[in-house]
Amino acid sequence: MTNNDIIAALQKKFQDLEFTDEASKYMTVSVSPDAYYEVMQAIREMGFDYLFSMTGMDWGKELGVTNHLEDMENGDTLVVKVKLEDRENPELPTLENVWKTAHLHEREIYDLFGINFKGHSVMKRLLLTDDWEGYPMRKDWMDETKMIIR
Amino acid sequence: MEQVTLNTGDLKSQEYFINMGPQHPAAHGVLRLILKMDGEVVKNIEPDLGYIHRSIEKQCEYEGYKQIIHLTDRMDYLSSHINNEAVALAIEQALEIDVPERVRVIRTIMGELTRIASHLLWWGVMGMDVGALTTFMYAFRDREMINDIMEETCGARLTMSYSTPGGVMFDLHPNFVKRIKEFIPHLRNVIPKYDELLTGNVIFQKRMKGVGILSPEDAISLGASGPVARGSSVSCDRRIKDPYSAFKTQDINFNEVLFTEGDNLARYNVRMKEMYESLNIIEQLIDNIPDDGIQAKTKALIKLPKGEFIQRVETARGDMGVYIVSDGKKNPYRVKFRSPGFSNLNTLIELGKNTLLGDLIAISATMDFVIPDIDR
Repeated sequence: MTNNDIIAALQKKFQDLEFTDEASKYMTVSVSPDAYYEVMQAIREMGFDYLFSMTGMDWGKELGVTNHLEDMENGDTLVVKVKLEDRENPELPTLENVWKTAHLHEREIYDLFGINFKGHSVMKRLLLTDDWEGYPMRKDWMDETKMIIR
Repeated sequence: MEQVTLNTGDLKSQEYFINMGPQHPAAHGVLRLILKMDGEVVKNIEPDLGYIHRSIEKQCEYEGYKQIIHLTDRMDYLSSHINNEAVALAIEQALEIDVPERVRVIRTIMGELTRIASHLLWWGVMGMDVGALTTFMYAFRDREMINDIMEETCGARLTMSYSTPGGVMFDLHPNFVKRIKEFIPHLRNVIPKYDELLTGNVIFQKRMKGVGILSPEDAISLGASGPVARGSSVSCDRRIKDPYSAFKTQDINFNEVLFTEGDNLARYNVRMKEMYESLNIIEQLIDNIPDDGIQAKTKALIKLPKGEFIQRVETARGDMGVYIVSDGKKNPYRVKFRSPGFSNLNTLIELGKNTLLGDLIAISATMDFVIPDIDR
């Protein structure tokens, strides 16, 4: 599939999708949090079977997730971005039952960015200790002990 | 006298938890798995990570691009050269720098040496995990030869930091080609002996064959990559799918090693065969190293243009990705390292369910974990 085919196939099913090309070699599509799960499911059915990476993001105003996907059969790639306005209680549906690999990636994002994935089987901290306060990968996190920010 | 009969209804089995690690000798580092057991059967696995979490991604946001390369050594320390290369390639891609051909070839040779060293170490500890202690000594003897070659050229044995944006740190040592040419026949000679020592062993075969079977669909869905996925016949080698460095510019013939069984033995065989392929690649390159300099011109202070850049490479463990989000400043806005070990851990959690505890050790050995790679 070419990029145009992917755009056409997705636009047939969903409105409000924003396609961009942010200097990366992969095409990027932005979705709203409400449509996130359905769009991801549709993308899975289009043949993107390999969720290569899930990256938690803090864009300053919004939090969010960037997903990198690949079709293992023909090598197509796609990036899906979702942005959340709410910094107090950011919530997204889990992708655990679409791609199994999301299990650990989502736990890591919850741990470091504080995004809660609804329906995830074990929504607990992964890398940090359970009594850690705050989410250190957020841009507004204060490094009081000067552990990283000198 | 009244006869006592055993009423099996009185005996109740009870599930219990045990800790594997963080200092378990088969965990290859500080990985703690909380196992829910029923007798000797593992019912559920919960990983507890972070014992060696150094927040490398956060540190990167406060370092310059040249400094980031030195942090990546400390992730997957057995593929350190390939990690360095990934970051260097991402920066070069963003700045549109064309590196000299010599750099590409040197990087590829170093990368394949790293892969062999990593697979050798894995073979040693793999044997050790299933109770064959001798393998460790043999593997380390041969790995030492690679470390010596690395030390001569890069100045370091493990954390090389040899690639820089636009080139490599130093030129090759005058002994480099000679040493490699001694090493290749040596390794070709000893791997069949290692096969005799371990691969053909009956006890070893019984621990490996048909244990921990991973289907191709599950392998992809779980995000497995590298030898783990190739053991389940998933073609995923980045060197072929998305060639970089000399794989892109030189005409290199090598095969992607695939096995269809998906069990422990398949994953084991993939790595054993890959060592030969790496030797082939080095052999094709070593005689024709071009001579057009070791460094492209870069600015002293590197600033990436605004945008997002992704570079994926094939480390000894699989698909390693560097994702840089830049806002045009001298340090990145966000860096994500997609480490193959992190996703392969997911695979272990799936495969380990409803197996015997002893099999779990063998399965985790064939996953080839490096814990700093998982924790980052």
